[in-house]
Amino acid sequence: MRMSYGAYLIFYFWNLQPVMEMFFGTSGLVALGGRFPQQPSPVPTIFTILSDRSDTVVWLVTLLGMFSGAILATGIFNRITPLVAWICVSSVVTIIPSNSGDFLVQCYAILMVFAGLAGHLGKPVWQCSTGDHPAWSLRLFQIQIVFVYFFSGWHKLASVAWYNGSAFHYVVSQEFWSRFDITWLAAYPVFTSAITTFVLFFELLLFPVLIWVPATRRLMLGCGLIFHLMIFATLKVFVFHQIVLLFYLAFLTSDDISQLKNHLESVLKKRHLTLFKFSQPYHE
Amino acid sequence: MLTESIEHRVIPLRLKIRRAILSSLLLLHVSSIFLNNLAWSPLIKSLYPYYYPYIQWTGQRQDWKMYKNPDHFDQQINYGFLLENGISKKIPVTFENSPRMLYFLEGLFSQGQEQEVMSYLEWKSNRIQKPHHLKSLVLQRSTRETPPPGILRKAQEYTLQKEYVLSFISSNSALQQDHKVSGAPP
Repeated sequence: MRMSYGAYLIFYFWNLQPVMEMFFGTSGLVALGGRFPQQPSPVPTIFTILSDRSDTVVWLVTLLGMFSGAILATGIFNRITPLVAWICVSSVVTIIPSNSGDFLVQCYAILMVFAGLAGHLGKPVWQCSTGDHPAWSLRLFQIQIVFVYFFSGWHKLASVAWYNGSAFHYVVSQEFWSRFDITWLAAYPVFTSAITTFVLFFELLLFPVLIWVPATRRLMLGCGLIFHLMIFATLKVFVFHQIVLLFYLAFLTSDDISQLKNHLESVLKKRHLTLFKFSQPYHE
Repeated sequence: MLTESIEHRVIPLRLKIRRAILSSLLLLHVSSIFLNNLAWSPLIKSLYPYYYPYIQWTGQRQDWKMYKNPDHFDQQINYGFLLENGISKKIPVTFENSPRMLYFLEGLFSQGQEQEVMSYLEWKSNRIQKPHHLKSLVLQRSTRETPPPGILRKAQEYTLQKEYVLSFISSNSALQQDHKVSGAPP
């Protein structure tokens, strides 16, 4: 998890650099008179402390964020690096146009800080079931993602569109947010209603409950992976799906990792043998 | 023997206290994020001053209401360029903007902050490579109603909802700006 999040942060900050420059660069929106963020937070950020109209500060935040991600991925200075990463993430998430995915990146960062300060990031383990570390830091990640699903469904139930099964109909009708034309799905109200209902049940009941049952854990992770990949493929939702999949790593056991490794090795071996066969000269 | 038995009694107590403190902190953490997920109510209002500072300062804002109320309309947001030589062009913002930028542009219209929109248009105009001077730059939003499931759409056209115009008035000595905001009639 530490390695994946560290690698993700490199990608995350690199993608955010143009956005930060647009807002807080020397000739950015703030320098041109715009009031960003529109709802300032009392929590100080690198931009509020140093400058909110400087290309240098933008690059400082970008490079510091990327660097902290790289160090986090390598596994050195594990008590202090998550703290630096959290400061960079917080400096950015609270002031740029952010969505739920960015909030989740920030939650991940602070949970990494807790794990780091407790010394639980010492080695690249996927799960603390070996008994070397207490499991509480891992449980915090698991509880957080379960809360995300459950309360996402909880809030949806307060909406008429989700309650009466029409929400997905309106979602697919929005060309602005679709990667390609899926408006034709709106002509099938039974299908859209079924999807709406399935999403509600998945978020409220299936994932929050069945993820804790060993027999259904992998199934739920697989369903969630397909769910998020399909949304990512069809809708222009940013950040959220990537960070959710990073949270999924908290549910993988060392057995899961070994089996996945063995499976990948066997697939690669088969391909290697097939290539070797075809490259052999024909002998009569 | 006596020293060993005293040490045996002291260590577990220290460990018990440490575990109790850690358990309390974990309980506080989980309770805080749980409460932050709930809707505003008299209960939340009474507890808010106690848990929200922790949420705010650690950056654990729990805001998972995405797609809670999907819009019952589709929208188009376009740039409009008018050059001094009379050439005009309209480009959808989806052509050259990332999803995060689309989110920001949508927010400019939904939050209605004119000063922020004008600063964006000025920033945009500084980045347009053009052979001739820009006479005006427009950001406009049009919408089209989505009918409920099972009902055919009546109109296919998008209706202009709002537009922001940044005009450039060139004189011999300086390039000045003027702006206006207009929207669809009620």
